[in-house]
Amino acid sequence: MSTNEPLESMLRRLRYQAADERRRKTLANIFSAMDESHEHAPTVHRAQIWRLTMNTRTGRLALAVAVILIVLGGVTFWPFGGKNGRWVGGSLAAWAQELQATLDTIKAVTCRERSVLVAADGSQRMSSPWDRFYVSSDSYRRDIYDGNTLREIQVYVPDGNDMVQHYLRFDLKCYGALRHKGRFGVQDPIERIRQYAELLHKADQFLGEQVVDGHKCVGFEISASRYGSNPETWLDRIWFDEETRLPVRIEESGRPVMGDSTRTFTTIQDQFDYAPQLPADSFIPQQPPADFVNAHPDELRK
Amino acid sequence: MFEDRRLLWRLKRGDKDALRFIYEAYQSDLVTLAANLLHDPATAEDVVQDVFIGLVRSVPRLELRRTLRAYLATAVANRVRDHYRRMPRAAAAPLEDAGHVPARGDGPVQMVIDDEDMQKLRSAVAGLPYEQREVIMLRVHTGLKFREIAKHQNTSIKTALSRYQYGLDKLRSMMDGEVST
Repeated sequence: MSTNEPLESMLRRLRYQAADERRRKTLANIFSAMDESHEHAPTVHRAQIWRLTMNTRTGRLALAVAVILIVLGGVTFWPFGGKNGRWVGGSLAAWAQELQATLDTIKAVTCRERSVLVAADGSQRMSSPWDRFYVSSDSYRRDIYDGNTLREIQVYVPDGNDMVQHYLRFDLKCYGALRHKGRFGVQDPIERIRQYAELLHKADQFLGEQVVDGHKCVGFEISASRYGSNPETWLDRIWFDEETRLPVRIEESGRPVMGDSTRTFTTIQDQFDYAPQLPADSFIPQQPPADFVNAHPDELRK
Repeated sequence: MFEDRRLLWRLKRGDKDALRFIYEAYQSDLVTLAANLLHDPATAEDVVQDVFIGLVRSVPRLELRRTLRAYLATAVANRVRDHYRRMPRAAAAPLEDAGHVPARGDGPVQMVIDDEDMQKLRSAVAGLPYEQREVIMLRVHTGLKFREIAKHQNTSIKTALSRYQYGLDKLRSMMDGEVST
């Protein structure tokens, strides 16, 4: 060799490049293939379904029932996925599985939850009270603030199949305990994220990239009608950190306000910490101060 | 990997910007890989086009279990193998005529030396046994791990590593004129 350059370095320089014109042509051909692929795939699929349906008596009967349900009952029928009419699966399902596995390893999480009232004219007002959730594998704590003032601490501890909610209200100077059936439920951020993981492949919209709270994120929008009898206005947006793949922000917008059809509200969960350093007594109900009374808040408000 | 999955997700929704991004990001390495394996740049460009067309057609069913780069690189290598199977005695176009990236030389004399060296190297690469050439090109131009290359060649990691090392040794010998190409 005439040079002392390492062989691997020389090999890396052994490059070829298609001419600009050729690259443009190739890209055009690939785009055409993509168009054909998207035009043909659903047509063939639907044609096959139609043949399968109409060639059997049961199929024809089932189709008739479905049409009646759609026309008379207003049943929403989405055989091909979301708004864009495309079935989304594959890698997203694998991602959802990874997300579930990651959630299994999380020992505790904290986050903030706020609510925004939205009037018919679109004007918004952030509600003064907000919550901070602390979730461990079997216990929950909810600190409710009003502005900067801690108004209440609720600690939920398991008791058999139920949960006992211990509350300490600083504004009303009262404390007590309430028994609830089952678990913390949808208020548990981890359970909520699990639910989204299951729904991810049914996302209605990919919201693209956005920096949220300093994290580079990708967002998905999922209609709440996919997991319950919720109004179509109710849309959930989940922003996942591209690095950790865990949610950074969850917004539930268009939620109905009970007894007020003119307004909706949006809940926002953010400030997630998936590895919080929590004091050992975080989930142990605090001893109430001496001047607090054992009473339900409703009794004191009368 | 996450970025790849997101791109694939967009591709599944018919997002042409995602397709353009993937093409622009990988076409250069893939054409280089195919050209070095085939010694025929025109066919190499056809192979890369076929791989991308294959990608858009298979995308609704595609489950990405490795990086997009690894997926595309092995797809190119497979197409090249198919090409050789179909046309085992096909005459390759001379690589001298190919649109290869110019040598980096600092001055006119160095540029001539560089060109000579690179020309020698091209000929030497063409003279390598195919399996060795494939390992070297997959490793050098697409950054595939030896584990991934071994899987592609349906062999052990040890064998893939040996092929890489033997290939480099042979190239050195050829470049030094010890072995006739």
